[in-house]
Amino acid sequence: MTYLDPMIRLLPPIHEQDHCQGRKEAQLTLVEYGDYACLQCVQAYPLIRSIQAQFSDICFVFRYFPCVDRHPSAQHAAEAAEAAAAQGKFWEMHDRLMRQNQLLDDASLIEHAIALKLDINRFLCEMSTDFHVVRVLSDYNSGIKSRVSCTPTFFINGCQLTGDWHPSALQTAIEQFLS
Amino acid sequence: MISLLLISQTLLNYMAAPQVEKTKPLTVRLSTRELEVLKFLAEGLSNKEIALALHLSPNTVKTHVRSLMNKLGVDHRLQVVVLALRHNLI
Repeated sequence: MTYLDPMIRLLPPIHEQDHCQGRKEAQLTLVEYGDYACLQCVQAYPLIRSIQAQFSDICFVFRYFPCVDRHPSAQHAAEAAEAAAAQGKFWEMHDRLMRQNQLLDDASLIEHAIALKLDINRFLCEMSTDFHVVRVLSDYNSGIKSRVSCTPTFFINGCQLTGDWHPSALQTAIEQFLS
Repeated sequence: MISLLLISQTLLNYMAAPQVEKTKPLTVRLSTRELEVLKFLAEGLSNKEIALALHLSPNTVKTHVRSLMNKLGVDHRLQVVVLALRHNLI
């Protein structure tokens, strides 16, 4: 059973630094705390794309929540996404990491960066100096504040979708919310 | 513009090159200097920057990079990094 819990709020609310698709003032805001190495996040990915196609006025935000104890490659994958963001290609990298989530080792991350035609020297430099660790950690900490404990965890208009995760639960929750 | 074209060509060459073999064990021996150069390559340093860091001439660094490419059987310096990471050389 999944339900929207108005008592568990998104902290902080959507802000300027978030990776966001759609306008922040949209009627429907959907925030995902996700981990690129998490199979449930990968399962949720096409569903989110479908929801975005279905609802015109929607804002989708992705925040990093790498569960490194279960998925050691998740941290570097998040940093690679952030390194791509620094070069204006967050969503392109996000899509690649979600679609090819079996390829998250450091060597594969470099190949993703090459495929996206990023400035490779800058990418390597930022990855090897842990340049984006703080940003990833900031998202992770916001998840902790928002009582996120596993991935994917979603917030619909600032309220957490709570309960056992299954893909249809998100669609149902959104439909119920809008009705 | 020339440098942009060169970068594009380099990337095209890389993409056209065969993918780095993932399972074949590596039997090459790298010198200490080559390992040092390799480490800096993985940090995104240019030949000139590596030369400054190691107190070598840019041409010497270029030779080490070429040697790394030959030993590892790849055509591009980025493939050296990818292969080295896959085989835990760095």
